[in-house]
Amino acid sequence: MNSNDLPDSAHVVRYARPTAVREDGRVDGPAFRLRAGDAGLSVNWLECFAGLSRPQQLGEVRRLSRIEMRQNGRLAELNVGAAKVHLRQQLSAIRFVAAPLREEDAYEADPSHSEIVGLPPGESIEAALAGDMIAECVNVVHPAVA
Amino acid sequence: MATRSKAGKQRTPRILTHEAYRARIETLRGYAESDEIVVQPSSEQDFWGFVHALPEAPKAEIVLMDNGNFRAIWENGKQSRLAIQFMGAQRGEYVIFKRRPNASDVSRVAGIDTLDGIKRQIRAFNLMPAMRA
Repeated sequence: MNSNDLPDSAHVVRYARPTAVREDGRVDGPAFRLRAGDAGLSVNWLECFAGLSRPQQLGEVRRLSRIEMRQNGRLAELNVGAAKVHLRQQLSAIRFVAAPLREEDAYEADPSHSEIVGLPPGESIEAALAGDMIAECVNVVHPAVA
Repeated sequence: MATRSKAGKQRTPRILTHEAYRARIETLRGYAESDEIVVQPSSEQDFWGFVHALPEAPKAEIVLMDNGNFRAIWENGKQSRLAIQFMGAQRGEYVIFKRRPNASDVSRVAGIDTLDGIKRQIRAFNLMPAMRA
């Protein structure tokens, strides 16, 4: 474990577009595939906002987001330790690492930004499998827009 | 109105399932426009061909991928799961999870095949016996 690895007790959220949200409200695997050119899958580390309640932590994630979250989008929450155990059945190199974003132009710094690294390229068959396995680890789904 | 299959399981008449698919696809089309995702007509065409060929299949969940392809997911509780990305040209990317009887481990396979080949996979994995693949 490197110094920027998130602890197993950490929880992260990943924004899922409305198109990746099923009618039953669950988030499907394609939300967890790498996009072309990306080395890691962006997530936000909730406990980074220490001392805040979960709704307040989610509020900070929404406020600092650099993407436009949609009304029908969702924030899928995962526990890091449980997800690593589950995913290492298929992906031995998977890691959750802190990757804070600095202040840039109109954007505030986002200390919660993190990445899931060690995932296969997004268009590969392995990515399809990995995405569905990550989706199995989602334990709570939150509205993307409060 | 629901009917019962030979196995006694309740199922939704096909016409209602297809109406639900049409409504869902229109909803996804609206979401796609907002996120500038271009829906692939060949993917939709293959989805409809696949579900028409499997009239006994239970209703699937449908999502739209960032590349504009539709993806359908059929689940049988925690026992089995089949997801197919309809890639156009009668090809699909499938992901199958199947829990082995009396075992805690899950068999997971994924691949790209023709839609006919995927129907053979459905038979091989004995997925959703109600599906006449």
